[in-house]
Amino acid sequence: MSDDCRRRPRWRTVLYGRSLRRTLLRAALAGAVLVLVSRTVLTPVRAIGISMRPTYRDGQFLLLNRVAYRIGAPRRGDVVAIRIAGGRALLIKRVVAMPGERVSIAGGVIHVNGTALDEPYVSLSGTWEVGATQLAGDEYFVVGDNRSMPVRSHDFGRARRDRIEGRLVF
Amino acid sequence: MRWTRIVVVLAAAAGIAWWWSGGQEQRVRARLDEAAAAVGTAGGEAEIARVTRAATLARSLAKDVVLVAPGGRTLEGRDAVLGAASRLASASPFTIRLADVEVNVTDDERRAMVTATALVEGGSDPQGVDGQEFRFELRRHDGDWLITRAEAVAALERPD
Repeated sequence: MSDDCRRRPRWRTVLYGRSLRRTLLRAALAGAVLVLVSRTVLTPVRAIGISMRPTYRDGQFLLLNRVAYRIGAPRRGDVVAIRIAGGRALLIKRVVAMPGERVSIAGGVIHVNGTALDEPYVSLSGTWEVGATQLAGDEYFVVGDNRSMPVRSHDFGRARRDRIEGRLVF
Repeated sequence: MRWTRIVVVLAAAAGIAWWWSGGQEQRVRARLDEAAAAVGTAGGEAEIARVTRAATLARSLAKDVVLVAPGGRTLEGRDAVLGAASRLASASPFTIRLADVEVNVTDDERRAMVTATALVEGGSDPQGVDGQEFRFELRRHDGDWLITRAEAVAALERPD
């Protein structure tokens, strides 16, 4: 151990290591990396509202994987974040139908190309009736898991691929 | 000591230049924030407060303003928009604030195009927050920015 280390009070070493300047530099670097990662790779988001119940509850903190769809496309069953105007406010919905498919809702059950969709994540079911819609080549049909809400107060529908920001992960 | 002074003066000059160059954009943002706040209502407010809000909203809107509401309903003219806003005032309390505001001011600084998300808190669902994308157009008139068009943009297109 050097003389310098022996002379320095222990509380100071515990607080900011051997060199305050280096510690501050490391902290700034770690902060910058954290900000960069949280903006471009894994963004913390907070679910607001009840449209994704029971999968996500109101106020729950989640992580948004922003690189998921840079290397692949959204898949049926994925919970995705949809951009509204910028990147701060997002809609959280589940992908139930893929580009080019025909989707309708009868008696609360989603039908894709005429076949009823098996949705084990839906435990709050309803009796929604929505006419058939044909998805374009860059459109996905997204809907929340809480189908017990009145259909008028639930945001769902066709989302363009370029509006999908990423996939929700825990 | 001398160097410190030079650095402080240069930093202040840079700050003033930054503020000046972003001046119109900041005025556009301030105008939209003011209008958004004036649409919201605290509920059970006094007549004077309601009149003040209406006056604030009126001075934010151009006389020929066009509002395209979610669902496609169109209102034309300041009076029609003010009438709709006053009907909202009798509903449950709610606030509107703008997020993700992106402003583009034309080179001649006479027009501005803005995209933003209007976050509506309260209303029929006191716990919830509703997000709605809007595109705004503003025109500079006698040094003042006025909203000439506000159009709701659907993030999700609902089937008919």
